[in-house]
Amino acid sequence: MRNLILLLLRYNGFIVFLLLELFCLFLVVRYNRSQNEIFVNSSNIFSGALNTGVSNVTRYFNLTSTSDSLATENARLYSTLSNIDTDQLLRDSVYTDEDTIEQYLFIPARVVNNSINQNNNFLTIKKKDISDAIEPRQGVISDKGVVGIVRSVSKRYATVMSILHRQVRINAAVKSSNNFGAIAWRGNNSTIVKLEDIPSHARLAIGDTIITSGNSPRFPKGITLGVIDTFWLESGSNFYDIEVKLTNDLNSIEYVYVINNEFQAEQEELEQELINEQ
Amino acid sequence: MSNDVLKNIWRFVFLFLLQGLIFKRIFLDSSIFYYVNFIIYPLFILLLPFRTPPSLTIFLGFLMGLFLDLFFYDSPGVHASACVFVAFIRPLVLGMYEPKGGYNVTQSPVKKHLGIVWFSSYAATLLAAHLFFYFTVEVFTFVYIKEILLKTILSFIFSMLFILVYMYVFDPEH
Repeated sequence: MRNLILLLLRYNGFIVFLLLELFCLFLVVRYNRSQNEIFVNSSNIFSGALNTGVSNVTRYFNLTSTSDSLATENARLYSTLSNIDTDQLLRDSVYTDEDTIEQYLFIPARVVNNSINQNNNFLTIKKKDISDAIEPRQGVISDKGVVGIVRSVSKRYATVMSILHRQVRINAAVKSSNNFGAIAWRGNNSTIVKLEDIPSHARLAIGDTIITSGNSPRFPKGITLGVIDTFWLESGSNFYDIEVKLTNDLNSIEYVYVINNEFQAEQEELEQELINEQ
Repeated sequence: MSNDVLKNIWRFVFLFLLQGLIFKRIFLDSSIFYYVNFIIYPLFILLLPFRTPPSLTIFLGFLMGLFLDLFFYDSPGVHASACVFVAFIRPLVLGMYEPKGGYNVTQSPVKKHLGIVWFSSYAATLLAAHLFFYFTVEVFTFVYIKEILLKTILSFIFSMLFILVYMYVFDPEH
C-alpha cells in the first residue's frame, strides 16, 4: 500500500490522471453507444427542482409572448370548432366502436430546461399533475408544431429528446401530395432539418408545408413540422435532398402537450412482430 | 480548516451553479455566434492554490466536471474528461510561465499577486486547452475539426471575457 502511494506521488499525478481520464472516456463511449436510460439524468429530483426554480423566474419575462401564443391557439381552435358541421356529421357517418373511444389525449406540461446548441438536445418538462399519464416514446408538440419524443419519466418530470437530437426520426408527409418520408436533424442549425426518403417522382415546391404523416403512433396526422426551404436532386439519386425550415422556434418554448395515444402500445407491438419475423 | 480551503469550496459551489443554471442557458442564436458556448467553470481549477497536490487538483477537476455532466448537461464524462485533462496540464503550464524569482508556494495563482499580464496568459492557455479538448470529446472524432476549432475560438473569446471580469470584480486572494 505504501509503495502504491509513493508511486502515485512520484509520477506527479500522472497515474491519477490516466485512471480518471480512462474512466471519463468509458462514460462517454458507453453513453454514445446506447440510447438506454442513463443512470442519472436531468429528470432526477435535485436538478429538476433547481431548474424549475430558475424557470419560475425567467417565465415572467415571457408572459406577453406566451399569452399571445395561447390566444392565437384558442382562436385557431374556435375557428376549427365552429367550422365543424354537426348536422353533416350525424347524417353521413355510421357509428362504430371507435367513435366512442377518444384515441388521442393531449397532456399539457411546462418546459423547465431546454437546449438547442448541444450535439444532441434534450428538454426537461414538468408534469402539471403527478398522475398525468406521460410515458416513454410518446410524442410532444407545442402550439406551433412538433417538439420531440419523451425519453424517460420520473414522478414529477420527464425528459424529451428534442427534434434537434440526432437519433430522433419523425414520420412526415408533404401536405399537398401526401408523399411521406422522415424528418431527421443533422446538426449545426437549430431551425433546419432534413426530410428524407421522398422519391424523385414527387412534385415539390419551395414553401410546401410538411406535416406529420400519422404513420407512427406517436403523432396524429396533420401536425405542422415546417415548410420546404430548399430541395435538390443529386444526379443518379432516386430520392430528393430536402431542407425543411421548422415552424417551431425551439428556443422559446414554454408550454408543450404530450400526446397520449390510446392505441400506441397495440400498434407498436404488432409492428414489432413484423420486424422480429424479418 | 483554513481560510483558503473554505474559499475554494465556496468557489466550487458558486461556479458549478453559475455554469449549470445560468451560463448553460445562454446562447446567441444567430449565424456564426451559434457556435458560442459559455464555459466558465475551469476557473475553479485555475485558481487552486500552488501547494495543492497534483493528484488532488485532478480529482477536484474530475468532480466538478462529473457533477456538471450528471446534473445539468446529460453528457456523462464529456466535461469531466476535459477537466481532468486541464488539471493534469496545470503544473506544466505553471512551469512554462514561471517568473524569475519562482512562485511563493503559500499563495494562489491570481491577478493580485502576479499581475494581469501573467494571469491572462496563464488562464488563456488552460482555457484554450480545455475548450479544444471538450469540443473534441463532444463529437468524439476529428472529422469535424473545422467546427471544433470554430467553436473553440468563439467560445474562448466570450468565456475569457467573463474570466477577466470575474478577476476584476472579485479580485480573489486565495
